Amino acid sequence: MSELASGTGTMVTPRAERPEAGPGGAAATPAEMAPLEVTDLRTTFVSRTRRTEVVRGVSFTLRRGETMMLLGESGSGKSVTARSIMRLYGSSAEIGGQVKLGGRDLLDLPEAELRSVRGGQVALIPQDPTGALDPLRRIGSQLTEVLRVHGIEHTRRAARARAEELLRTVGIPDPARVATSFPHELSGGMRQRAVIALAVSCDPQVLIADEPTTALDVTVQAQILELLADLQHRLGTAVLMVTHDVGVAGDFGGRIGVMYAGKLVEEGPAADVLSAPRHPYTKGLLESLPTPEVERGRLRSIVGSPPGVGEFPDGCVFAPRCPQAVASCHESDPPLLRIAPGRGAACPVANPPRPVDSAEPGRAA
Amino acid sequence: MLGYIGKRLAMAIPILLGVSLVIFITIKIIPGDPIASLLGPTGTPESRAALESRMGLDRPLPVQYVAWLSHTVVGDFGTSIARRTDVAPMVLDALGNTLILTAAAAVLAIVLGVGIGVLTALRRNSLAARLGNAFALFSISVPQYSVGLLLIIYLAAGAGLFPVSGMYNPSSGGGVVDLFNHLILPAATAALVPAGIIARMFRSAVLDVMSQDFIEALHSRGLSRRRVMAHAFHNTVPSLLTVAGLQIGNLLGGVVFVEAVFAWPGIGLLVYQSITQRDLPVIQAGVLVSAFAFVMLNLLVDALHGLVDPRVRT
Repeated sequence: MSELASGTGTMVTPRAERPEAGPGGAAATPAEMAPLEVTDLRTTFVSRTRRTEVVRGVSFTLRRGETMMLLGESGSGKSVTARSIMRLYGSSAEIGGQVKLGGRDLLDLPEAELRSVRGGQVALIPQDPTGALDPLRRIGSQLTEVLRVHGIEHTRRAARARAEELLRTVGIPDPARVATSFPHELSGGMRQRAVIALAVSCDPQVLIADEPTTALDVTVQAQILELLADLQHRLGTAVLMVTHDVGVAGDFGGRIGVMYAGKLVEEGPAADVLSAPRHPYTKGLLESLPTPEVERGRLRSIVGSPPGVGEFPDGCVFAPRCPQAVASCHESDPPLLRIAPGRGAACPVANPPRPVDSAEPGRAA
Repeated sequence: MLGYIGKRLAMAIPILLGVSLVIFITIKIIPGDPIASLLGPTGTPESRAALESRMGLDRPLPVQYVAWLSHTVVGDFGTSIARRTDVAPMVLDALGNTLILTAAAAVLAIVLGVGIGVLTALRRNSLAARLGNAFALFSISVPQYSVGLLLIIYLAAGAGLFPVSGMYNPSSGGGVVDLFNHLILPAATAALVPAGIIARMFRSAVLDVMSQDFIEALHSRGLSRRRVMAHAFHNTVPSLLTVAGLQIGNLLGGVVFVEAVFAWPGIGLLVYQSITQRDLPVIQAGVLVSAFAFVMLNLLVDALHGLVDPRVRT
């Protein structure tokens, strides 16, 4: 743990270094500053015949009201990371490391307390809004159930009124009609708004959005992202968004964590990471995007394909595909190195050590 | 919802008309001469012609069909050839008895099937689940006919636990307890196959629902396991209705064997006996009434389906 904190894992962003974050700060306790602190998260799926480690030591911190994007291709472990935080895999996965929320480790919480955290403090917006709703229950009834289970409202009447208010909050123009509708009677965008209303119903500190726009029409995608940004601004919720879409990551801003083969390979402010990537994988990912400048038929791609789950090579997992790989890359797996304030990249080749970095004070806290 | 039921009802009418036509034609096609069997060996061509014109059998087939249908729809099924009594009360009594047996078998099959289905879906590797799977496989595979006979030989005749056959004990004067005692073995025999099929279908329905995304979404909202399971089971009801409806429909038609083995005075036994006696009016009425019950059952299942699942109400 201490080894991790001293530079390999936990990232520190500039905000943590502001004076009010000090121990004497009256308003900001450490828990408030960092509602979610994930340290060396490891998720292993277990079946009777095999064990597959899918998330392999992911660490990051999410502050109040902040946005973090987990960007990566399918199978990079970004969704599993998000779901492991809420322990949604039950007994089918072993989860190691720490997930601290308000000073408590979610991975150690007994079932009953975990339930009050789920939906109450950490809420999930799944990818497919159609699948996220019980098809046989009216939208209003699904909302009131959550409100009453979490003790937000105690009477049916009050819960119903609050449900309609929530639907209005997420930009549904006729909440009374939508509350009495079944999911199949709504459009995809409306459904995703209802799912978001469910997610924010108990005023969570952290909102985990797992590709919230992937299942939607392009025209609706922007509206939903706008709604999320708006809610985040109004409610002060921290958002952890999982996406494979570099465009979404760029639009939504905040910080980006690039995942590859179950690890964070690069981290930093969205604009920095996307404009000046410091890890060869991120570079390759961005170069393979079609842009108006690129001529037809000249799209670049990363050579090879990602390692199969559970077939990770020794050394750096990206080394077999990396144009910059040197001999040492195949021997030891590089940790996430601090390369600038709030920037990290797990590549010593692209980021040769400079004395200035290690001399800077406060970075390793 | 009412419109949905109305539409289903309207659709039942052409189905029933079609069924009546098929029954009428089948009766005309199958070999066997009712007039000859009525007259017996003493019949002369003159008496034959007289009887034919009295029964209307000398008229063209469409006229015969319309005449038969117009009597049937007002509940007049004619007179039994073999017993010389009104067919309607005979058939309706028998239908009532069949419905009692079918209902008992259906309850048994659904309870057993749902129980085994849930068990084998949720406790996949337990000993109980293995036994449940074995039972489901066994019950689908064994022939009803022999199970009925084995039950009679060992439990009724051998151990004397249950009456061998019939519906009421003539000496004890009947009553619900007596009926229940007579009901157990035939109902268990009839329930065996549907119980196994419902168990297997319901198992996959539970597994299917449990693997859907909304289950995880419900967990992510902090609902207790019990609440999540309530949502899950609610979502298995449409598939349960579908499979149970089909199975009860099969029961309605399939109890003929069980009724024959246990001498249960139902519509199956009545039609079976009437076939051997070439009692055409009874056969016609029996089959038509069975078909009517089948269509009504499907209508009920459809209505329930619409009640449970808002997506089919269109």
